[in-house]
Amino acid sequence: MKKNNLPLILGSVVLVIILLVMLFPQMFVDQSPYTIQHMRFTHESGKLAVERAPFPPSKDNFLGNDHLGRDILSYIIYGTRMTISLGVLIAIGQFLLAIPMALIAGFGNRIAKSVIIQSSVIFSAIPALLIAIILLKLDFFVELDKQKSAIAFILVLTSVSWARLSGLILERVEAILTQPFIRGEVATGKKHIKIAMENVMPHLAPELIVLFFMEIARNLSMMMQLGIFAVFVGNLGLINDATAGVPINLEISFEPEWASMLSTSRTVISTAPWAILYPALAFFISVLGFNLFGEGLRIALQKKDSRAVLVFRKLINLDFKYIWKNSEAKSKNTILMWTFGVIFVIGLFSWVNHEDYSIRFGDESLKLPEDVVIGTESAINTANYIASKMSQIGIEPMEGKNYLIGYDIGPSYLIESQIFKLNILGKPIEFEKDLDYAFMTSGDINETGPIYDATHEDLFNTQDFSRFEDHYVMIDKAYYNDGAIASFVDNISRNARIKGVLLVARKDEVIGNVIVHASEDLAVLLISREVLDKLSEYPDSSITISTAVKPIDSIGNNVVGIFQGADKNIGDEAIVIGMNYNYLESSNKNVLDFNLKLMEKLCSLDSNKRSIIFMFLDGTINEAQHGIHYIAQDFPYSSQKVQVYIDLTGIESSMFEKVEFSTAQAPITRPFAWSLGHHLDKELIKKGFEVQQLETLFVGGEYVFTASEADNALFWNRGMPTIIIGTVKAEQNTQTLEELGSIILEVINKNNY
Amino acid sequence: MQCVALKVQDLSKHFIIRKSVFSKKKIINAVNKISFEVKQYESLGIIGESGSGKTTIANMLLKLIDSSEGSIELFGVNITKLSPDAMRSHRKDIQIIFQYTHAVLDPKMTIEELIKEPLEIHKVVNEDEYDAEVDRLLTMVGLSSSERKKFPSQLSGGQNQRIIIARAIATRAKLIICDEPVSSLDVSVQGQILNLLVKLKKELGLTYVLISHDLSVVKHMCNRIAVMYQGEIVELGETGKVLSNPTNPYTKKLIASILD
Repeated sequence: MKKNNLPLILGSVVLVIILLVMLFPQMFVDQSPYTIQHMRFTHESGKLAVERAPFPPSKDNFLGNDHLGRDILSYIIYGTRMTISLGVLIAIGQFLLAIPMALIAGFGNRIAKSVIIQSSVIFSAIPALLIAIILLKLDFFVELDKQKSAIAFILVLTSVSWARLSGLILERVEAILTQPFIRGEVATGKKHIKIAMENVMPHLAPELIVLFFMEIARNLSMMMQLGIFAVFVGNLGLINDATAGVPINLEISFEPEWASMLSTSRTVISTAPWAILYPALAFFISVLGFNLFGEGLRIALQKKDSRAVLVFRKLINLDFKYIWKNSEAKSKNTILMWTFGVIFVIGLFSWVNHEDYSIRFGDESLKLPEDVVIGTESAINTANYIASKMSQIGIEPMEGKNYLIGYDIGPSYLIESQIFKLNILGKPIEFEKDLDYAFMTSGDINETGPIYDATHEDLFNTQDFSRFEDHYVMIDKAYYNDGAIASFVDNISRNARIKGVLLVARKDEVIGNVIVHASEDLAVLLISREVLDKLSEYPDSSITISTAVKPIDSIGNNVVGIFQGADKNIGDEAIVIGMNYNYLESSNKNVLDFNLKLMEKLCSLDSNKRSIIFMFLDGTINEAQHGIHYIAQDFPYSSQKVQVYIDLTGIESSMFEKVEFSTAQAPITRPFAWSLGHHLDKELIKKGFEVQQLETLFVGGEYVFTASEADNALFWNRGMPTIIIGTVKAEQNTQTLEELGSIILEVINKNNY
Repeated sequence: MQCVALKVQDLSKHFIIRKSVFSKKKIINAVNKISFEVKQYESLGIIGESGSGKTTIANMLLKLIDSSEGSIELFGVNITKLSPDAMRSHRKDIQIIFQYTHAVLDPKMTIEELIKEPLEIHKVVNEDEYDAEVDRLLTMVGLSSSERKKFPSQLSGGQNQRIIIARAIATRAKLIICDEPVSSLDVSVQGQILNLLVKLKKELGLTYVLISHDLSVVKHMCNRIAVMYQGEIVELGETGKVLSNPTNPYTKKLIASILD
């Protein structure tokens, strides 16, 4: 009876499973490893219960979640590719170094021999693990991105462990070289290198193949040990988050990989043992699998007259013709072996998911109007156009049946012409609109009057309003918030007949407006700090303002729709994306087209697990009419289910120089938003974008954006973590929206699928 | 006049043995200042007991080991100091037939590969003629081409010895060193192999240096004979003369031992 080679069979089974998992991870889990479910809301007998990750294994999350809310099973499944590839690549690295060195040393090269011996002495005196930890913990390695980090890992682990392997091989080479047939080969006139390849290697081959699989197993357990010491590929290292004054140290990798799971979860081993048990088990099984396979191969290859060696020799001489000719003679074992090899190589090369993230736009720009301003006919038309696009794509309207969510902006005018000048004797100074000043409230006005400088007064406790009479009152916005300013203006204009209000803009505040609140007798202007300086120079001079306006509809329309998520667990969690559809210059039609295409593309990605809510905001040109304020007051979706708000309203031109970007309102306490923001940041820098952080102010434990109130709307009113992406124009606008768009797509997709 | 195939002058090999760093050097003179000449188409037999330095000579002649002193001239070219690379082209002319032992042929190579190898190395024939040439060589040494795909372990000792011979003649070598070509074979096979060697010598015009401890083999094959004793040649001459009229006491003893 033929004896079954049990280790080979068992090992093959494990390896085949590993291979399948590496190649087709989506076959095994329907959940993406990038999904994060940090909070879980359950309704129990009418009560809302909130649970916080780590969640124990349940029927939805077969192996549970770790404390960052990542599903362990999918993380293990998707991590297989990276982990096993690393193990294999390190083994390949070791062999590439060890075999030539051993052969050179075997043929009597003293230098090679002493290098091998000394290195293996050094690395047996100081454990390789220790050296690997010390090296890979260096800041230089920790800061590398995933790909580079993987290469660094391979290099370091190869260099600390090749010598031992080389020593082993050298011993065997020397034994083979003393065999009598080598003398015959030399006498025939064979070169050393040919002897090495044709005579030594075939005798070595069975052992090398066995050793190779054993080394993979060794490398995996090495990586496991390193993981426990927080050394793994793509280590984000120490993250100090000052949220609530408590620094949190985390070691996280957002690339699924087993060693990182061990490391990230080791702090919660007592509360969430499953988070560390299963990755360890994955390591255990694969180490066992590789060892068994190696052992099984040893048994199979030690059989006499195995033709495998013949093929092997031809293969190292690249004599494929021979193999082709003799393909019938190949035994089943050989075919099996080489198929394994080939599949492995394919597996290694396919560790990047190829999804098409390219985005094209501009072709539909012609259909869009020359300018879109809130309240005008073109705005309504455009809103309807967007709504029809949404319904084409399959985006459903929120709550009611309407995509358009209207809001009242109060009686408003569109400014057609405006003048603001300082009357100095001799030569009056005329200021430049949208740079020095902008009207906020106005009617058809043509007035001249003196300025009352109230920038240094306490306006909260004003009793006597007579001093403001017939003046333009100047107020510095820097000291008050928008609500206070509005109440001052209201208060003063009711109690005194003033000509108007000059609001001094805050630092970095954008000045520019086309739509004003309607008022026939009161003008409110936003002026820059330079104008303030100018006006202070001539305190006794009067100013003249003159405007011509056109009334517009007082209704703004936000176009909002939801693309339902596919996942049954987290499908109702939403990513909100805010975009603008107002523009003044026809060259910016492209931006709207880009926004539409981005929406279309996001919906077409095959792996949308969470819902995506698209908001096309109206009135984005001016703070006062900005649609976000209105939608923030009455948000049409449960805000606790919103994972992140991505604000793209800052994207204003199709060519730009820098990217305006901030994740300040996506703190680490909101892991989904945080990880998305982090990914975006990394990708932007990797793709060579110059990133300009938005100015922030730290108030009561959270950040406030100073440039625009609109940026803060959803975070401060609704508690939705916000990521802001915008464009900055400068003299050289070399960056394109195509690239930015593909980054946004890729990051959202990877975090969401 | 016959040209000189091989000329050896004052050839010596010392092995230095040291048991430890501190112990005294011990020099063993495996071969001590031997000189002889082999003319083309003749056969020289080197005979001596085990340990007399016969195989060391063979190794030195093929430059498998370096000689300590003296010179070796191969068809007028001094090969003593040649580098391994320079020597490689001369290996075409001088080949060796080893004594058949376990693993004297690479056990992981097929017969075909083994015979093809010298053809490839020295580019004896064109690439597309390799197969025909292997067949020809196999027939020449009395094997059928059906053995091509076999491994040495699947053949008998005699057959393997024929493979070794086929490898040696494959390069069209003019001088062949035969190092105990038959001593590990059955007596019945010994005769066949010796006859094959004689036949090949006639057909290919070979020159032999035959190393053996067996006087009857040398007597059968060689026209000249050198008797070695403790690393030195004690007697050198025509086979008939040496055997009928030995001058050296060791030779006398040797001949006497056969006659007994």
